Amino acid sequence: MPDLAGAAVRRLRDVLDRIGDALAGCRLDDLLAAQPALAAALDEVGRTGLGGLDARAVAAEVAQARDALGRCVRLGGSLDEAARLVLAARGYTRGYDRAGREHGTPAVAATVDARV
Amino acid sequence: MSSLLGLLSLTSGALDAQTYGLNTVGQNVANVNTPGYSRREVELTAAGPTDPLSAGNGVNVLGVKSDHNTLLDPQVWQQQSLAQQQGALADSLGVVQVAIGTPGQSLDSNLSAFFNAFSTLSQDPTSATNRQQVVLQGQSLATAFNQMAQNLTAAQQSADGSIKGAVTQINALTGQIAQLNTSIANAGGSASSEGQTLQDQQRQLVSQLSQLVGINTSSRSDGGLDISFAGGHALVIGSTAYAASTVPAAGTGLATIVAADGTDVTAALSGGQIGGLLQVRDQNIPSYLSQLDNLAYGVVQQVNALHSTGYDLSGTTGTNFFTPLATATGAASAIAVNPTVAANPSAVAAAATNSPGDNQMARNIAALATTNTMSGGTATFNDAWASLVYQVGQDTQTAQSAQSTGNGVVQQLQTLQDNASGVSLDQEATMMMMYQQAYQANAQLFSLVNSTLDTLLQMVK
Repeated sequence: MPDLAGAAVRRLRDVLDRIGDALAGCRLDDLLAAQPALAAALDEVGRTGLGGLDARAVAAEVAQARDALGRCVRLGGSLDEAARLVLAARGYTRGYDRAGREHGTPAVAATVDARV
Repeated sequence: MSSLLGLLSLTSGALDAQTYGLNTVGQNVANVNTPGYSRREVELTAAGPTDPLSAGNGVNVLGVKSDHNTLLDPQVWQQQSLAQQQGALADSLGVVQVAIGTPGQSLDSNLSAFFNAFSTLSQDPTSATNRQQVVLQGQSLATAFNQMAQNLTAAQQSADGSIKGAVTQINALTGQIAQLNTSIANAGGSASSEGQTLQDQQRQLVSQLSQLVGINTSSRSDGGLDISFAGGHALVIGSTAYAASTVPAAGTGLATIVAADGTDVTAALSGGQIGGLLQVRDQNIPSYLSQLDNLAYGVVQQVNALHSTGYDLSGTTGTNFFTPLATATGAASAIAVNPTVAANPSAVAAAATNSPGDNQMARNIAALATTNTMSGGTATFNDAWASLVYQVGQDTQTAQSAQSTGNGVVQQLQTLQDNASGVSLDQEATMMMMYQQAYQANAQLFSLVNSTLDTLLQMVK
């Protein structure tokens, strides 16, 4: 019986790796394209039955997927902080209200901690 | 200025401005591959009219500005520092991993061979060959422990040597950075082209410094940088560099790092190669050595406890197989077969009673191989060894993974910095927002991904 759960987690990890690479390379198009792919991969993992799975293989895939997720979170945190720092220094606030007006106060940070 | 002379003057000024611009473009092109070079941009301004009836006097060159986004510099340096720390850790742990050896071909095989020799002895307890084999395997096991401890100590010494080398490099870099502070101030800071070039050079040096040790920087009003490390100890203030030094620690002889003010900052240092080397020297390797010592001590204690109650071929009892050890500390280096037994294999106690044919003690000692005597009675000797091997592998993998992610963050920040050059501030801000929003679209699913992986992990455990 094919290891459907393992394959689904592997696909999820592939998408996470792509998001990590897009974040590291600041590739906006890839980052945008990854969102539906991530949703689809997540959906597939949720739908896949666990009957007949190779527990050790799935555990290994899950561990690698968690590593990939951790990488995304750290890269995303770094991107977020860099953006916040640059935007704040340029006088931009963080968001917009319903009327399209900017709101919030510039969050000026002297230091950045992108560690997780 | 409506005269022909005035018109010529205006045209000449515009041409000068364009020439200035072309020179700047040429400089940008020539330095396209220069590390740390920041794109230069000519700032032109309309020259105001001196005559109320004139439309103006063409353009004037205000100066050349550097496109470098200094906001991201500290971030790049910080992340470089973290990535280098993990890199140094991964490299050093890679050496340890090689020293530890692969499963089945390292200390575990010596342990198995030793206990197997006792098992073989139990089949013929009076055999001189079998007794000799027990002694030889005991000596091999002791030598393997000694060698392993020596390898780990050598890796620790190697890290220590690299730390001393890194401190020397730090001092060389801070000296150059301090000199550049003087030069930048003399050149008028970032307001002059020369000052910008010097700042580029300085940023390169600071980047190298951040790869050696975690630093904090602060900009000076004259265009230079002040630098501190280890929680605020000065490395560079203006034109003065404050040299760090290394001093051998009492007892271990390993280098402690001392700031220029005389403070021992070893424990306060983090980041950069030094951070990684200190971690492997002062935390990882001592932890591995401690586990190795405990294992060696456990073997000595357990084997001696049985052996000393057994009887040798001449009916003598009370002999230890290994030289007794007072404490686990240093056991892996000190473990040795009792010279009395090594010199005379008939002193091996194979019998539990004073009977030459009795093999019970040899069987009891052989059974130690599969008895949970380690980790509070939950692990065999081989389990304890496997745990150490796993720990080293896990630490190495974690460091490699963190290094890879750290390099990704550095790459990301450098890309952001490159993207910032040559675009308007509005474009840069828009770009940043788009990156942020594109990331956040994905990040909304991350908690779901995390909980799904958690659930899966629980199901397959």
